[in-house]
Amino acid sequence: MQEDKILFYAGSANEIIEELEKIKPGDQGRINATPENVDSGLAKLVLTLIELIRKLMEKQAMRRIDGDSLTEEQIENLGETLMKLENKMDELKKIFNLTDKDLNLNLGPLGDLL
Amino acid sequence: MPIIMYAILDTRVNNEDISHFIEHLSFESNIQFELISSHELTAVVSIQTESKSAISQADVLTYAGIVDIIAQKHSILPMRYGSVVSSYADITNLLDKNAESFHRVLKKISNKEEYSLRLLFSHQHQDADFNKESSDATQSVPDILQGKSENKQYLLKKYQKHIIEEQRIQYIENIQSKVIIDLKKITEYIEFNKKVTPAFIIDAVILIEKSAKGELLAFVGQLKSKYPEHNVILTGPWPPYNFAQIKLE
Repeated sequence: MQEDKILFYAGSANEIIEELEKIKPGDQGRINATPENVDSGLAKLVLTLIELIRKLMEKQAMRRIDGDSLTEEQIENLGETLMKLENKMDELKKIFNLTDKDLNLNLGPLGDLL
Repeated sequence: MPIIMYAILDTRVNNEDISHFIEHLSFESNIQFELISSHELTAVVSIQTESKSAISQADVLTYAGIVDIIAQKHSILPMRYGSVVSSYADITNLLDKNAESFHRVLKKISNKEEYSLRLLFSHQHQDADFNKESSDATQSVPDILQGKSENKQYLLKKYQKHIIEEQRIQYIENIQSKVIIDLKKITEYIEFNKKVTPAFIIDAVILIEKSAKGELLAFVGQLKSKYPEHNVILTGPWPPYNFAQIKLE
């Protein structure tokens, strides 16, 4: 950013710069599929969508806990299901050499996907 | 030959000195600008002299710099990098077909400037405060999650994270609603961007009268006093990119 455009700042300049750098447009958070890497590009896209659905399931589960609408048995089942899902996702990420950061697509003005 | 568009102005307002200004800008920037007018609108353009196979950051910055210089002097509809047409007739056509929309937005942004206001969690505050709330969250666990089974322990951890996130969102919404009330005293034109990293509490763009710059600075000073634990940055003036969006005909 041009320095003459900064009219006022207070706090830690380093932290502000660090955060603004994160939102600068760049390649990070995009799916860079090319003919050479189409397999890993596709894997990234598919795993990103699965991760999004998994996170939504988690959120829905938390809402149900908040709503106090689950029985003891349902709670046990829910815990087991979510834990297994997370473990399975970890396995898949390892297989395709992807990290959580890789699965967080930048949607521009809409912010990050996850 | 492709023609690059930089800005659109209201000819009725800027008629007197725009030609002289553009002549000076051409001299300073070494780019030959031209003015194309129709329907009391004027487009600032230049002919693209070399074919580009790839976009360079320098080109984008040069383009943005030109738009910024024009915006500092005149009320404009700023174009985005890549606003290229193939003939003068295309520009005239664009001005003719969208004259009403262009004039409406130009009236809205006339004598105004865009600023960006960001309030961010300091890293220290973000970690310390929400970790404290984490231990508070542990105290209020629903009865159904009490128990030693692995499944319940897993859900308990997720639930605690969920509570912290809810508290964060509530905290941010609370600050945002207070800031909106105060900003509305300065301008009605406020846009909030969705927070793009967890550190963002407020990421807003505002369009204010040029004469209200002092008021805005005073407001930001007060904001810092109210929230000394957070980082705040105000930048601008910028061309009114966020308040000049038009669906082209």
